[in-house]
Amino acid sequence: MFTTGSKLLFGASALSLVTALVYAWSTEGALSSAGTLGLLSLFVIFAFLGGVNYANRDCNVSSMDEAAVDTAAAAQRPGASSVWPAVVALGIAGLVVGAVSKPAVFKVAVVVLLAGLVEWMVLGWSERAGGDAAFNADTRRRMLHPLEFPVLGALALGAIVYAFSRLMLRLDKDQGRIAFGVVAALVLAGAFLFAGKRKPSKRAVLGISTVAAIALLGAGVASALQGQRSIDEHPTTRTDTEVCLQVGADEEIDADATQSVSATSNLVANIYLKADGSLVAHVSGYPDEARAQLTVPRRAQVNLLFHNESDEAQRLTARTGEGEDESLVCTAAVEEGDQAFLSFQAVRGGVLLVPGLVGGEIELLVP
Amino acid sequence: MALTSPAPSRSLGAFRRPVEATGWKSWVFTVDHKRIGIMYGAVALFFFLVGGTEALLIRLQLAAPDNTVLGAGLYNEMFTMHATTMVFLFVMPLAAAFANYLLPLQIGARDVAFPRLNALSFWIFLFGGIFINTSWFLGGAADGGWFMYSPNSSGLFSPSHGVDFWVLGLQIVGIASLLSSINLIVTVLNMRAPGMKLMRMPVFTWMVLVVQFLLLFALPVITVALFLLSFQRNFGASFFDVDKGADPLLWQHLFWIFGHPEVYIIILPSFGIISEVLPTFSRKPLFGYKFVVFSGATIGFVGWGVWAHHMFASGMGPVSVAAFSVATMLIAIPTGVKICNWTLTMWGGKLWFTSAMLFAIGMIVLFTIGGLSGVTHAVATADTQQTDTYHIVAHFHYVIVGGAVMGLFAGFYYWWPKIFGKALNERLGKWNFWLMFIGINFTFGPMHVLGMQGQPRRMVVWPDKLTGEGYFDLAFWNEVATWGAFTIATGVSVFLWNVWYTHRKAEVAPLDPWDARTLEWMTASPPKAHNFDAIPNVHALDELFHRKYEEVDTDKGVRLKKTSTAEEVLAAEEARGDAHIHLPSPSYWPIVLAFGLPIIAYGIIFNLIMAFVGAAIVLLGAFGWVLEPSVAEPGDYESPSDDHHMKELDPVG
Amino acid sequence: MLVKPSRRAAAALAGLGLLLVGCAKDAPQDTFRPAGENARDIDGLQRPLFYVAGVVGLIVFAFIGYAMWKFRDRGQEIPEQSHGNPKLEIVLTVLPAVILAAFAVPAVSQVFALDKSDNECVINVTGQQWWWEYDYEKGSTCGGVEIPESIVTAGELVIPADTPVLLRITSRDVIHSFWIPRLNGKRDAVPGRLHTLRMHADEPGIYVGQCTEFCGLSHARMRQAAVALDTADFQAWVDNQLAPYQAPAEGTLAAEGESEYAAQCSRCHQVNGLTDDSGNPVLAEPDQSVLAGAAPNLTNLMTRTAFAGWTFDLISDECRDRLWNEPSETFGDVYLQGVWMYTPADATTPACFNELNLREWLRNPPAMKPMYTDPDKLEATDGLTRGMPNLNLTDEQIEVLVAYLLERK
Repeated sequence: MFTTGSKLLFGASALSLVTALVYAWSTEGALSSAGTLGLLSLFVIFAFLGGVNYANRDCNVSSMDEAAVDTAAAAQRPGASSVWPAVVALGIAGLVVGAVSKPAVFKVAVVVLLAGLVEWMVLGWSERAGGDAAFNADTRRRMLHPLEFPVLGALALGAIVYAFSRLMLRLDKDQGRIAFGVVAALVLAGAFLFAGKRKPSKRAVLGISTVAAIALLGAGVASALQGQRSIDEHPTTRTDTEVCLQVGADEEIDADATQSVSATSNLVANIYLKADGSLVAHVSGYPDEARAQLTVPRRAQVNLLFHNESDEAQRLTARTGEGEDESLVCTAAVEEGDQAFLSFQAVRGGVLLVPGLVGGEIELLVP
Repeated sequence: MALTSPAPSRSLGAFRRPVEATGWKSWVFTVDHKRIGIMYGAVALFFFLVGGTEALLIRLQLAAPDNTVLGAGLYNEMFTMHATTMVFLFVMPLAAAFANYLLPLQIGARDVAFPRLNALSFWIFLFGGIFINTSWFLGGAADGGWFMYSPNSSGLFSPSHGVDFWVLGLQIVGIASLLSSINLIVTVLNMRAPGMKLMRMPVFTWMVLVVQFLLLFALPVITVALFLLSFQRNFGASFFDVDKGADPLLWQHLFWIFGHPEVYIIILPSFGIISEVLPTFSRKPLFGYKFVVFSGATIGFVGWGVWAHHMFASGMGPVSVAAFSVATMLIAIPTGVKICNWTLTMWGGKLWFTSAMLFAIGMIVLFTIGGLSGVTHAVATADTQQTDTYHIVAHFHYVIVGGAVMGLFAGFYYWWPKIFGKALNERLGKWNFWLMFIGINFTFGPMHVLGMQGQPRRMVVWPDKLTGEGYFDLAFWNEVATWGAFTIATGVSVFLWNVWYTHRKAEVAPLDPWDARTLEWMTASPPKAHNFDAIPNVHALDELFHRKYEEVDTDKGVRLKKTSTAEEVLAAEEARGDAHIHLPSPSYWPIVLAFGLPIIAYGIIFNLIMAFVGAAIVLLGAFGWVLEPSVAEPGDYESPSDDHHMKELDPVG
Repeated sequence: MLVKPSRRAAAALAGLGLLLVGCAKDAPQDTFRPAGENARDIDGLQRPLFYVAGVVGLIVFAFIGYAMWKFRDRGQEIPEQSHGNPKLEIVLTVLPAVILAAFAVPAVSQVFALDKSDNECVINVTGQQWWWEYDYEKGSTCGGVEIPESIVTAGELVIPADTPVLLRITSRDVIHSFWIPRLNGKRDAVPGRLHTLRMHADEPGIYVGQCTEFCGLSHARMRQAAVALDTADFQAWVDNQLAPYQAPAEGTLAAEGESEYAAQCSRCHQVNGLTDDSGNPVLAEPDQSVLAGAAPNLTNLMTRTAFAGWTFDLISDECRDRLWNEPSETFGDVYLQGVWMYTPADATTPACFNELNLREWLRNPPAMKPMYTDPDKLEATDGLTRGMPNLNLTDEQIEVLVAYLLERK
């Protein structure tokens, strides 16, 4: 069942494996040592070559087969021109360049070299796989398409994702609106054009797709080179004493970081800092009542929403415990008219306060 | 190139396809939808016994107050796995078994659209089911309930590997269902016989089609939810972590957006089956075929808008509760339409009470009870009293056991002669029916009382001091329910006995034992590998009936008379049989690929290196799959040495 | 024989319907015996729903049964192959829609009605594996009784009778569900969320319930009860809860128990007013040992009738039966005596104290109620337990602790 050639190669493969195991064992199980890895690599390489040889049956044909004079693999003319030698050359050149310049270039070159070698090897083998050129081509396709398509697809997807993400990171809010408005309009226009035709020409579709892909990639690369727009850090819940007892705002205020999108139904209370400087709580269970007291169970998660209705930026701080046990947790400073979310657990009672605000405290009861 | 004639094989020799038509290889490597269907059925029945045993243990534990058959931990694992097994490893695959076997036959196709994918679905399901159940022996099964509510399912509150097994197992089983749903949708849409318009399809095929669409859209939701949960458990994500600002109700919404369509995934195939059985044994077409089909599709759509009725007590707020309450009432309407239509199908017919018919009628009765109690849950405030009590357990067991399982049993009795060539024994069948019907009412009927008397679900013990007295004595009704459960078990044993008996003793059944109406009865029993010698031309709904019966003028007026038998119809079809029938070849690779998945899952739980081994197996399977020839060729390229040897012996002129 | 299934089913359903709506005896969690306004409203909608469902079911079964009898195979001709009757179909579609619409209107309005916030008397309810904690909102007025300070209790929710009470429900760990069937429907306790639930009891009495959302290992042993008292009794109860701590007399067993308690139990269990040797209040720090960070407050343990998730009785079975059947006029008086109920005035030991349960619990809690306390299996929680671990107390220690706890009344 095994062909002569494949027997040799499989044998060599098995031998490598055994040697690898013996070597690994004799060097006390150092699986990662260079020797073991090398021998294991030999095992894989021999096994692969053996598989290839087995698959094409050593390129043998029957000696009684007269037609084989013309159709045998050996009688076939070599295939047409191939791009892979050039790719391999490029890879080697890249190795050299990368070795003296950047490691990244070196790594890319290794990948290019490997890909080129594999493609070349399988191509070369498949051209001798049988006596029929169509069959040979088919053989190559069957062997390599399952590798090529996923890899190329992943590369294409990666490129698109990368370009798109760079673009998004580059454009600020307004530019983003304009850019995507234009893109949407183009898509719509294109769709109209195609909708009008019964059968759009393949070439047109291909052309437009190519242009779009190049545009996306180009824009992505361009914006990657320009670097991303400045993105604000959004301080949210803080626990450091200096910040939580600080009056008003000293750092950049984040108008958007309310974290209140989902925090509508699960709140223990809404805390309002009124324009007149008073701090009141609208506690769940007391829908219409402004209270100055809030009871929360010990060690249960408490979610509050702080609404700043005063005319300057303020933060809400929960101070619980006393002395050594004192702990502070606060929102970021919230601009006038905005809101922020505060989530904490309390072990001892304390107060909710707005730093710098005199007289406006909400008693926090922890029974 | 002058001579190309003795071109070597079109295929690569390394990956020859199996050709065995008998023996175990013919089953393991098969891509025949009929064999896959039978294997689905056998495995599903096996898991039915597993889940049933779990149910009996639960009922034993609850038979008496403060009972000690099972400990708290084991009990929690037991009811979690009972539900998981029954839903994912019994009812769904058993419906898949019927769908696989019958759907191509009912639409006049020779196989499903993607035969190898079909085999893959089955093997993934089998390995996934085994994987989940191995958790019993590897540190304990999942103990969070089949709803696996967060945060109780997090690593903090459920530290054993049970939940990991459950999550990964469901992912694996989910892949199987997803693949099979795509397969069956394509089959129905693309492979119908000439003349088989959508509105001429048998109702079973219709319901299966609706179910596949439900699966296609529901499974991604649970997949995402399970990913979130396993990322939380294994990689420290915080999707449901309250102290990181998350809301645990997110899990409930995700789970029930899947979980409610799942209910219809379970019940609709059964609706389809009894919509085949009732017309056959009433000798009358289904009353309001279009209404039944469209109400099935409506259930499929509206079923997406009612998930939060599982959460009326969860504190969503009154607006959501009211909206989902009304939506839930709405879905009762198409369901009611079906019940009316089935009853009216019998009306004016000529009823033949075979076991299959009895199961179908039993299904209507039991499902009606389950449906009516379902309407009482739709009223949200009433549901706050009923939910999470045995009243709910009663409701959904009437729906699932009384509805889905009874329907599937009707299917067994109806199609057994088609699938195996021998009809199940009718006498044992009646025993089977009455034991199950009575057993179901005695098991789940009392649970209505238990629930309204305040016995909650999922409790390992119920205390003596809360039993009460008189009619509503919890002790009495719990005992009745336990006896009922064993009555059902007896009924199922009779079924198994019947299967054995039939295959040992029974004689070959006639070709058309029920005077049936649809295409699957227009071929041999059991069908040949290629299903139909000639693809039938379809002219009407209930094609076979129209080929057998004609309106004849008699002295009493125009009457329907049987003008030809099924044998004659079949002979006519065989006479115009196709000369070259091309069937997909068996394949080694589906089972290889499927085998890798549980290995990956074990690896994720125990050792990542194992996961890589599993991934390598999956990859190997996928490449083997791609590289194997599209068909097995009898004259495949033989190894040269063998070839050589042989030829030398051959005297050449 | 052929008509049997329908008749049997009809009979079964009729019987079932009667059973469901008939009046029940002594099932403490019976949802058909509403004892308060909210539960009564639900009952008022639920009962007609069951009646209508029952009648519809009977009609369907009668119809099926009749069809099975009338159209059985008697050798008649193959029937006409009719494909349906669209008019009839439409009628049969509209009819259930009308019935459902008739229920949809009150169903929706009741959802909103039961969601109204009645907030004079507010009690915070917190679920934890596997018991409930209640704290009474400081400043609330419950049935005319002022709550001057927060009161923390566990297991047994004491409320004034005939007064609307609002529960604010949350959880410390997993999801639980608070349910007192005779007073209102369920409401889940979800960590990080706060849900409200109205409570109202017409008359003094005890109304038992159970956690109904699966919450892990000992879900079955997470119970609760609501005890309704009339105004005077409730006032007495509040006063007792807020009464200053009474240290046991010197030299008694209970005094030994106090120091034992301070050494063993006060790490997790708070007794208000307990002081250490230097006179500082002893504050429990359950966060150091328990995952969820709280343990039941034992200040007035002996006023409750059950402990450990309201699962094990503090009073004997006979006393429990007598108490549960006590008429509403005398219920409060008996209940307020705690384990001393039904005890003759001159007796020195309480007649109803179920000492056995308490001793057994102190000896090995996880043996009575499965909990996550095995130190070898607490890897996931960094050694924090869920539930009370076995403290390996000696008989002497248990003896003095019981004596001490008996005075926490």
